[in-house]
Amino acid sequence: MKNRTFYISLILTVSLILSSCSSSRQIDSLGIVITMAVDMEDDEIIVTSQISSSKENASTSNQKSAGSSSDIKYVQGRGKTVYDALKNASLNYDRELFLSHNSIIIFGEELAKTGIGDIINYFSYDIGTRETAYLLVAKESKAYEILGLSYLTDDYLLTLIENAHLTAKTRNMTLVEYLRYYFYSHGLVPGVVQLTDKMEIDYEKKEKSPTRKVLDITGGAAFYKDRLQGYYSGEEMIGFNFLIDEIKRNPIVFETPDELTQGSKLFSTRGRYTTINILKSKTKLNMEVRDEKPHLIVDVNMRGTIVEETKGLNLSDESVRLGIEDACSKQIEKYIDMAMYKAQKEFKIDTFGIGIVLHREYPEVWKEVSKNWNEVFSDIDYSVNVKTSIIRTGVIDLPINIIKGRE
Amino acid sequence: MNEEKVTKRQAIILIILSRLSISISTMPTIDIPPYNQDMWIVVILSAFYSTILVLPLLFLANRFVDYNLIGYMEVIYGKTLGKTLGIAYVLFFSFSSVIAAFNHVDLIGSTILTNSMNGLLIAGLGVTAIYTVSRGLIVRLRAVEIFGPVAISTIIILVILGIKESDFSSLFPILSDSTLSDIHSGALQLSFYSVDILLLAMIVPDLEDKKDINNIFFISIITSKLILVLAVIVTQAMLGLEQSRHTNFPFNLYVRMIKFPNILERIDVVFILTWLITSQARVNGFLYLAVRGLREILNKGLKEKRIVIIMGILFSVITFILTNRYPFNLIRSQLVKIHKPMFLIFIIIIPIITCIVYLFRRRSIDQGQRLLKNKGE
Repeated sequence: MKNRTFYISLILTVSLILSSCSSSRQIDSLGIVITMAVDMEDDEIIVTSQISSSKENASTSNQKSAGSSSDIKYVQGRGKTVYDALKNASLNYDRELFLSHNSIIIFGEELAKTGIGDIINYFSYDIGTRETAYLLVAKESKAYEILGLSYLTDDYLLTLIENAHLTAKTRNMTLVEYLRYYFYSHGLVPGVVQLTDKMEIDYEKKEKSPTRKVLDITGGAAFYKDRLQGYYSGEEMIGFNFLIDEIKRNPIVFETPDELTQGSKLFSTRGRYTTINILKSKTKLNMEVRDEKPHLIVDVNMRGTIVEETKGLNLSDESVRLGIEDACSKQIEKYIDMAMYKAQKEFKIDTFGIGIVLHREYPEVWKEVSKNWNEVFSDIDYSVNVKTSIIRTGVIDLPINIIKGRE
Repeated sequence: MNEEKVTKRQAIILIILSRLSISISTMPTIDIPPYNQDMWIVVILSAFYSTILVLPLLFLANRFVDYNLIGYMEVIYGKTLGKTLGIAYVLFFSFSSVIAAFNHVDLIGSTILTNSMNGLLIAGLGVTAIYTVSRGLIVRLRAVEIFGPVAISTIIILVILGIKESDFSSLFPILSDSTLSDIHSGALQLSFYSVDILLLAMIVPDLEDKKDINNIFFISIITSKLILVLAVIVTQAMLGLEQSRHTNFPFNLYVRMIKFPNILERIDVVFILTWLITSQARVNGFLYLAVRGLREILNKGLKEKRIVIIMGILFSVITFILTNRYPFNLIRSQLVKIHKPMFLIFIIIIPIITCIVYLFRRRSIDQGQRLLKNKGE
């Protein structure tokens, strides 16, 4: 009997203690942050948070009137540190900011230029933040300006970032990836986001005007250590992604050589371009030492399918196929040249991690050049070899603007 | 119940789990010379050093199969000195269990239960430890035998799951940035963390087959080092060499980076649960050794419960004071300084001196042993 009483008391006590209710936080008392924008103004850090407007986070609030916490989408706090700014947000917002679902951190351009090393420290310290959050730089604007768009749904920007592989004109880099390479002597390239104008038709005035701002993530932000050095354009980013072997299933558009269409009989209008969608691409970087100087060899092996052809090519002709492959290879070489030019001549920073290749293949040479690697990198020669293989042509073998086999 | 013996498998799993609790939490391996991509070589080499350094203890364990460490100290040195050394070992076991508990509380408090009070976490740990220790060795080892393989296979699965996101190029070039002396120094330093041989030295009399002592040691050291090599490689490849040195729990951060389908939203919880099994094995293991040692010194039987409760409360109070006073980083940096002398004293110097004394007094000791055996028969 004594034992039974003891065990019943124990079970009751344990079930009370372990119910997890003692420090629980109700969902309607939290502001679930999904994107954070960090800026610096007047020596103060400004953290702007986009709060989830999902049903779970918004509708649980009893008040539905305008101005109630469920209607608030953006919260801003200022402080001496990021944590201070986040906590200060509670002075004008009635919910506690909850960072575990934050998937994007945007830095204002001004802040990125002065350095973000001290800022990202916070995101590493706090277990409540996600190391998998994507890093972006707000190109030519403050970070908080990016968040101000009324049509921005919770996962709009996140979806844009996660669709980066569709074009290769941008890049998604997480905090942990940034820190993985941060300590090396080469640069880093997180993504970019900017506000651009979108043409809209005003039906009343019957005219087109740039009335709407949209988010655009084309390009990449070149960092050295923690400071922004400049931007890669969308096309340069294609070359960049080839160099770092981050190419997925994106298209390559190139001008179709005239000589390839000589045998084709035109039926309708003729364009200029061919588009190949990449099925698989592999880039190998190797180094050689030529005349006591490092020489980079870029070998790209790409397989793809023709998805669009506008000039009128007879794709069942072997010589045409080879010509297209050659033209595609040249276009990829051009993209790589663009990216290399920007890195070598403009930034003068190895943003591709070529130093790692030299270190791996010529450790002794690396010891000599590692201290001034970026200077050495700016002068290295390189050669690019691209091998394109077209392995599919879609469901037609002849474009509709030419006629098959009628002379 | 006490007549039941410890099987080879139970002993191996106990030692592996105890080692893994440190290897996959604070991962000291990453922060020792040569501090670069050659750490996995250091781990492999440390298996050799760990073996060499514990040879005196292994020799004594094989020689005195009917005694544990504290038992044969008394046989070799006599009662007074033997008991004094026994108390020193009890203090070392207690110290090891407090440090393991400190690590336990720090990891849980800074990862999954960030808002929980340290006192609550320690109370949970303390009560569990007191209960399991009071149930005796066999019950504890049965639990280890059930949960151990789960923990080990989970770690291996986590290693496999993260391979896709890891960048192994940072692990090259091999052996070009380190000097041989750096590698050997790292391996030696790493072997100073392998104090788990004491778990074996204390349970020798309970082993089912006393001839398994060496096998248990070698299998456990090879397995734990292999798992550690895998963990170090993927952690460095995922986080980069420097970032993994900056973080308190590198393997935990590695696991957080694994991209897993949404059916399992937080994969790091899987790691924490796995690690809890290993950590509990270490905390309980050393607390058990302290209790058992004290029982022997005070000539109390294996069922004596007061010592368990007193030691358990003391252990909880000390851990509570430490966790509420110092951050783990500070304790860890101090630990690095005292690890080496402690290892030297308890794993090398005392056992070597004991071996020497035994060799000098061999005849009289063996004679005494024979007499005791005859008496027993």
